[in-house]
Amino acid sequence: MRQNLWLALILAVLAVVYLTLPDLRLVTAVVIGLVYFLYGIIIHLTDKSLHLLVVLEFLSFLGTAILIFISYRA
Amino acid sequence: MREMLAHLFTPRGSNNYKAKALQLSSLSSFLLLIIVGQLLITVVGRAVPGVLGIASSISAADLVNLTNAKRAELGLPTLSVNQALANAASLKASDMMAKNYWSHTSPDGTTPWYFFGASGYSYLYAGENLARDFMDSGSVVSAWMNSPTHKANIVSPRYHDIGIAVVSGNFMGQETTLVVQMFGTPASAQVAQVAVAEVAAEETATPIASVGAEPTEEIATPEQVTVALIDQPRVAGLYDRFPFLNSFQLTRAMSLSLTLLLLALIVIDAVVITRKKITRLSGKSLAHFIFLGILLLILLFVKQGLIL
Repeated sequence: MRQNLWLALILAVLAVVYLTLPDLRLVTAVVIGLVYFLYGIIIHLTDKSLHLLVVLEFLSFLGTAILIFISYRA
Repeated sequence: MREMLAHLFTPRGSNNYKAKALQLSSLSSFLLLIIVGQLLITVVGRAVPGVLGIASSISAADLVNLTNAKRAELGLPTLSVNQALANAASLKASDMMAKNYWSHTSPDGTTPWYFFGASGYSYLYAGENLARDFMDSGSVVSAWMNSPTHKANIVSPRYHDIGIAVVSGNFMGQETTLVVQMFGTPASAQVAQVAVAEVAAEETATPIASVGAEPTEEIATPEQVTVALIDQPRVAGLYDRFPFLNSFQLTRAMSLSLTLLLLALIVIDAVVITRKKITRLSGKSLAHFIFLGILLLILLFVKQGLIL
């Protein structure tokens, strides 16, 4: 639960950066995606439940998010 | 039909206890859908101008008035519209359109200061603000004022002149409106303000992207005229009407729909899994929910238009 709160907090801060600093949109978009991907890997590693399927699932979410940002001309 | 929907959207035996729409194959399909959608928007925008694009009401005159209004609020003198600077802005906008780049410096290394020289404006101080994809002049100036570096250009007491080009056309694959705002103080001002210029020149000896300043030894008086704004019409009559669909709104609708769908699926998935006490190997639903929720908030609050 605590990890989820940290994730929410970090992503919320990055979202504020994305919305308030248009100059940094592309960088922020990539960082948001990477933070989430790394979070997924670390959490599943500590749970000892890291498998290829899980990595691919997080990669798909990362890809979807980055593509959405790019289509927004980030 | 009902079975198929349940297979797609709820975890059950037929989909190995994970909604088919949340499985890797479906997520890959979503990725493909976004890529194809974006490609379609780009291709249709290029092939059938007037169908997809951004209908803007930006005008150079409004931008100058709004810029001067911001300066007046701070007690700064208003900027004079200068034909040479407007020409420089127009040259820069044309160069960006032709070479398809969104930057202060072109891919071949041409800096904004080159266009000042090309239009015959010898400057003591110079600066450039860029904007694209906005709908109206007020939004452009607001975005610049919210950015410290762009605001520094707008409210700089060093500048005397302004020149603006507003150009519509197909830019980086999408029909849009590009704004180039250039600021300058002619080198001739050095004669009248030697003491001030010397101090300022020491402070900013190197041009910086949006807050450019480059002292020169040249003394020249650029031509001053009262009307020096460039609002280029849409190219060759092909873009002489507003686009049927706003590409930004279309992209926004697509992205919002997809994100909402994924969020709804994750909630349904989590509820069913919890109720049926199903154990499975999968990513964390709550984490996915948080991530997509933040993405949704960004999509809801992001404003159209980019500045540089």
